[in-house]
Amino acid sequence: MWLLHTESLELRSFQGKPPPYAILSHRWGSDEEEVTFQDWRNDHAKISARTGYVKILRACEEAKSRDLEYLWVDTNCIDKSSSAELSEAINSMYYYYEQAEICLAYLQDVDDATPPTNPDSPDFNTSQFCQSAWFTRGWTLQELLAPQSLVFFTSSWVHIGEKSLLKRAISKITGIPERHVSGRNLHEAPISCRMSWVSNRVTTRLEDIAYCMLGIFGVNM
Amino acid sequence: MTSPSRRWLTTPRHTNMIFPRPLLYGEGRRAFQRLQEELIKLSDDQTVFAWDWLPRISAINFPERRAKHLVELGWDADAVSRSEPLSRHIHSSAQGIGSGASSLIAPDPVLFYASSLVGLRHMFQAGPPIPYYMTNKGLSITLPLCDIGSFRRFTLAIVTVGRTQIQGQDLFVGGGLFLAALGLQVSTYSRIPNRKDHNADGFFHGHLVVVTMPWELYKLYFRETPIFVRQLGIVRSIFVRDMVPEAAVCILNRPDSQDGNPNIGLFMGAKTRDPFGGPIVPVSLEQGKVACGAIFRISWRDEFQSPVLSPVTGHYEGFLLVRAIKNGDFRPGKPCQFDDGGISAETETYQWRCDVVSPVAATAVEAHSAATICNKRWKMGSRELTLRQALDLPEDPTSFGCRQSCEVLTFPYKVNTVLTACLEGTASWISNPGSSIKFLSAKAVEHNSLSF
Repeated sequence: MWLLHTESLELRSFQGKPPPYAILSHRWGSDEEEVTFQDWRNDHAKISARTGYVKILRACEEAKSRDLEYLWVDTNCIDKSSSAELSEAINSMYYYYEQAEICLAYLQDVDDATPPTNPDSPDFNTSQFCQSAWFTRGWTLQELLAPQSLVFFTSSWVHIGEKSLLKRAISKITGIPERHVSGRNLHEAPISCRMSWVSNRVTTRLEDIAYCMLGIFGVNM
Repeated sequence: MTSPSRRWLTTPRHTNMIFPRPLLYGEGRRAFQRLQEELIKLSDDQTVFAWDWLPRISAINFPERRAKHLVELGWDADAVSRSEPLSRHIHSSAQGIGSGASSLIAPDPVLFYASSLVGLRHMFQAGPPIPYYMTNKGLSITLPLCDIGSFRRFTLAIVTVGRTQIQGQDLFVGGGLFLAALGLQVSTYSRIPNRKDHNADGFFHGHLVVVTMPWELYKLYFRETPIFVRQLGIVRSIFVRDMVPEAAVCILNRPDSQDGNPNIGLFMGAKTRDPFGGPIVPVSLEQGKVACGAIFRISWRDEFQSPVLSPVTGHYEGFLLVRAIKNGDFRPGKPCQFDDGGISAETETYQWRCDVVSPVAATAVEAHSAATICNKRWKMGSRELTLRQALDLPEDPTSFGCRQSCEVLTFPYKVNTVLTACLEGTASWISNPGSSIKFLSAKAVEHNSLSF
């Protein structure tokens, strides 16, 4: 498992149990804006203007502010040129999120740091938070469910709130029962139920709609 | 299920061969099928089969790309973009949703959209299922089956068997799918998609249905049968004569019926001498016309006791059992027909001598409950009668004849709020039906919906 050292910005490889780390959950931008494993190992000056680079740096800051030395990001911490490594990462992704000390959920399309969090409030459905694309993507389902602790951030990295305090709102947006939003007792939800959570989500690649559920079902493929 | 926690220890970088097969981008839609196959290998949870061919698109907030996937699967692009219910817009493409038949493996997760309620209703599995697995002949599985439809064309298969006790009622609650036997191989089936040629009786066989009925009736109608379920093949019509001793109506709720989907009723018939039709007949309701569900009027009207079914609107969840009730003055109406899915019908108003109908259930309801109902006074026109008087019922409610005409009572909307709780409390409804039940007589509409 590759982890990004938040101080030196180096990628370091760990076998076995990794040190405590934060993990980023975000919606991917265009390929030109995100940075890859290879990009990161080359000259940072070439990529420092990309939004994907800036995003990672800001996430490092957030991790550091929580005394975490390491960060994992699905853009630059997987060597996608190695199909074996990609396969391992996909099969282990849920676990990466589950084991993280904290998940930083970056909502690029949300500016409002104080969205209505009461699902009964009239402007709930039209709020940026509720309509964020983060809730419509395939991979972000497990990124929501797996971590023990998850914090939402706006596009300018303003703190929105903790998953544990937004359970009702999240449940309303995603259709996932509140008791499963924490991710602790997923195995109690029938398969059909878990399938329904992903049924209206999207992935860029067709295969990913299946791969993004591996962790939720606890299977390897 | 495989615990991911061992992975730190067992996956040093050079031994990635432990994965049965590396993930392979490029496998496309097959990835989702493989996921389901993995789940079948690892889990007893049969809700993996509980998906619906036709989730209502309008109920789903589809991101654009997802809609594109659906079009690739054979869904009608216009319908997807208009977010319309797709029931009439399915292409008959050679693969995907419009295909002639399918296995129990869903082609796309969107078909699970309405499935979240299945399996959740305080049920427990009624025993460990017999092992099932993929074979070269398709999925080998033992499922409770019940043949239905004229000529027994279809088989209702139960994929999630739940048994629950609600206020003393021993109930079966499960998810059902429609299968058709394939070719000449007796034990090989396919799941039926929603194809027009299968809809002669206005019934969408592609739906996932929630079946609720008394446990003892479930045991009576369904037989655990080892079968193979596979894709492809020619659906054949089979004819199996099967006598069933009691009449019952089983209301099958769409899991998402609260947003206006047509509910489906199965009339699980009485003893019959009809040499052609099975006694169990599916009927459905025209979409849009019925907001929330249906109760069926049922009559036996002739020598052969072909059931005549006509759905009427109402809101109802749960089951209703009827037992044929003696009614000496039955006048059959003009036959009319179902056209494609809807009811186009000559209608006729009847003056039934007592178009009644009994909320009295037969087998599953305790005799004393039936007696309570029978002795309760009901207002019928200007008269007030007990059901027993109105129907000339015998003293022993368990010995109602089932050779005569019978009609099921229809519940006006008001009452139906009472009945909404039916799933939760059939027993209490039976013992306290409420004074607002009215008998629908002036609007009695006769539909001779099915030919035998």
